[in-house]
Amino acid sequence: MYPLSPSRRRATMLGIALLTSSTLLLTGCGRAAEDGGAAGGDATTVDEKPATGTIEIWTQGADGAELPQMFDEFKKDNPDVEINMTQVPEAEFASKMTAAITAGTVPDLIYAFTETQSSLIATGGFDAVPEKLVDPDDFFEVIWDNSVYDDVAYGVPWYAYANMQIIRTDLAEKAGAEVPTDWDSLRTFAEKLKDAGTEYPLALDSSYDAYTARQLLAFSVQNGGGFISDDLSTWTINSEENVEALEFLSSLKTDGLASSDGPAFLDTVPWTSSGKNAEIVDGGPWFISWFDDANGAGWSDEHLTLAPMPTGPDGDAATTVGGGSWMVPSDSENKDGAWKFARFMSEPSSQVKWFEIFKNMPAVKAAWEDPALADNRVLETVEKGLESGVNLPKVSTWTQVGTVIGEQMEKVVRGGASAQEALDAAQAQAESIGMGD
Amino acid sequence: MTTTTSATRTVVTPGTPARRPRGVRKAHEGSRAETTTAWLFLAPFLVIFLLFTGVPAVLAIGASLTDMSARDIRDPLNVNFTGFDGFAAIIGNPGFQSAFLNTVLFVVLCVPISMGLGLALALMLNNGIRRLKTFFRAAAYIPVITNIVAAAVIWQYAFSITGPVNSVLGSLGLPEPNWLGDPGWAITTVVAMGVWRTTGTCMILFLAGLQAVPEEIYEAAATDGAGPWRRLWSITLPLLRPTTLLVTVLQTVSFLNIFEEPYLLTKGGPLGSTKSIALWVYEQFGFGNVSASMAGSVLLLVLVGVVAIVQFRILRPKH
Repeated sequence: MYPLSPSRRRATMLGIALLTSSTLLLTGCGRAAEDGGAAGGDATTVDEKPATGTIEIWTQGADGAELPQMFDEFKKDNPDVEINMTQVPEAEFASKMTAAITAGTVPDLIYAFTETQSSLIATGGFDAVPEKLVDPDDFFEVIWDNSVYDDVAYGVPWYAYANMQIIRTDLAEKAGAEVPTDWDSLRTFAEKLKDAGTEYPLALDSSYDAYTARQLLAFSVQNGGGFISDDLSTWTINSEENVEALEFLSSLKTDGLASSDGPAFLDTVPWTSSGKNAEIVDGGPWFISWFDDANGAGWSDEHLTLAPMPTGPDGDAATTVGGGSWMVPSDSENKDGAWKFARFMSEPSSQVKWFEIFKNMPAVKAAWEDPALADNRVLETVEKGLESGVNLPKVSTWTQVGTVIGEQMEKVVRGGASAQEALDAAQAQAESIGMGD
Repeated sequence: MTTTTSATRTVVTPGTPARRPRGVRKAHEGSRAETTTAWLFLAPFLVIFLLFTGVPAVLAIGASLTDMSARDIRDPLNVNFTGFDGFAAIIGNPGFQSAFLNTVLFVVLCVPISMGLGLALALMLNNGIRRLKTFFRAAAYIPVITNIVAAAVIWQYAFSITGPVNSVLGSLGLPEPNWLGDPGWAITTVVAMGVWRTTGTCMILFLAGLQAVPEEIYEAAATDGAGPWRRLWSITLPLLRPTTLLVTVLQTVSFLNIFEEPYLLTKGGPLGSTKSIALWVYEQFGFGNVSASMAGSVLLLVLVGVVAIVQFRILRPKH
């Protein structure tokens, strides 16, 4: 043992004192009566006057890069407003936002993707949407509902999308394969293309996280299953329907019809462009313009067939949907300006403008009547998908449970576990994680 | 923490009055003025340390003893005190256990390999290579100063299934492993990147140590007929003992905390095979499990402290 020098002894005492006092502090303050976690702030009213001051916006994902074009539109009617935008990497957004809420150094406005809305709202760090700011009935129900928590809305939907099958027309024709409409024909399609020389006919999610779980959810619902009971009280991850869905999905990979290793999100377009994949199953509509960006204008129209997701064995349709909603942190210093920008972004004309800029589908139904959106095959496919849209489990622990499901799916594909074993394990872990309340 | 442990024993510690433990040499008997000056010099460090390390560490320890989660972040005192329940829970958590074993594996593989390579490079640069010494020294050190994110992007591309590494292997008729998708190969790749990134640091430290070894001892040994291996074994390595201790502790601590390599290369996959404790802690924080992530980081801190103290005791100079 080292003999303790006086200075070290003092330091030790100081440490013990600090620990004890902080412990006492904490024991003294037990959790008060349940205040429902999500009581973020009071709904205020927002008037029709132009916005003023500075609005700090944090963005995530690819949407942010193009957003400043909308700032210019907004400033036409709100000349005295200043907008500062910070782009945050999507993977870090939740952590950074959590830290900001803790520290009280929040931006005035953010948009959150459907996947993370529940956990962000559960922090209690966001304001409810002011009354009469917008009319809920103007929006697609599936996307409005996603930010409603205990009957209070926390987000103004910005855009919505539904995934689809994106198929290489030329490769399918060469292989004599028809556009898949259900599980059986999806498999037949893949087998024919494999025979015709496509290395991995289908592109499936291979990140083995909450996004992979989301893909399984679509197939589970097509088979009559789902991850959570309707009243959000019980996890139903290892139901028979889900196990069958996972068996179907993972067999596509283990039989070599899809790769276990990719494409990673940003490899999706290159892999399908080069013919390594012939179909993006459950692909987002944004990919279509990315193909044109990568291969030249008009490439998509010439090479790609779009189709709604296949239906399950009993003909049930289910589609992954998502989108983004504007949310205002409770510690924002310019809530008025923030909500005004959110309201501006949900006006049909802004929704159409944004579609023209970024090809994000309007979340506002009226915007779909605009001639700019008529006769567009992408939109027709998305609209069909939105009708059979599946919401993610609306609990704050979804990201964690989804990650657990994704990890278990990897065990089926790479580790030789059975679908039943994997989902039993995921169910057990999900039960111990709970619903977050 | 551990560096101060040794400093107390050998170097004068500011604020230490005349009363010393028995057996410790009265080396420098600083006057009051000198002590004050020393404290003044230390003040900037102390302020920054307390503000950005000390206070957060105490708060983290506090949070690890509660059931705090993301829903409490706006009202952090409105939580229940749960004592060591959180620690018990994560020690029993299979995800944490596997992260612990992965971390141990990284340390056991990375520390000896990087130190061995670093020492070999240092010996070569000190004795062997005559020309282009500066060039080789710089080349070996470049990975240390390269931005890790940029490096990881290149590694990820190079080691992807269809990447340049496999193209080269394929054209030579060798097997093309799934570097980042197969658990065994993913560990190998992460270890390789960890070694690549830290060998330069080991080399620089060993070089400094080697240059402190007096040339006369070698000359005397050569006169006595000792060959190069004998001189390495009987002179160089024993005299490098303090440097070896320092490098061992620095490398072990840095690999116990390994985060960037697995986070950037593999996200901890495949099948969780490269998930380190630090990455597990980070994930828990992202899930909103504040108390679990704090308990995990406290355990990691304890682990680092214990391992460093043990190493100092085993490797400290023998009298």
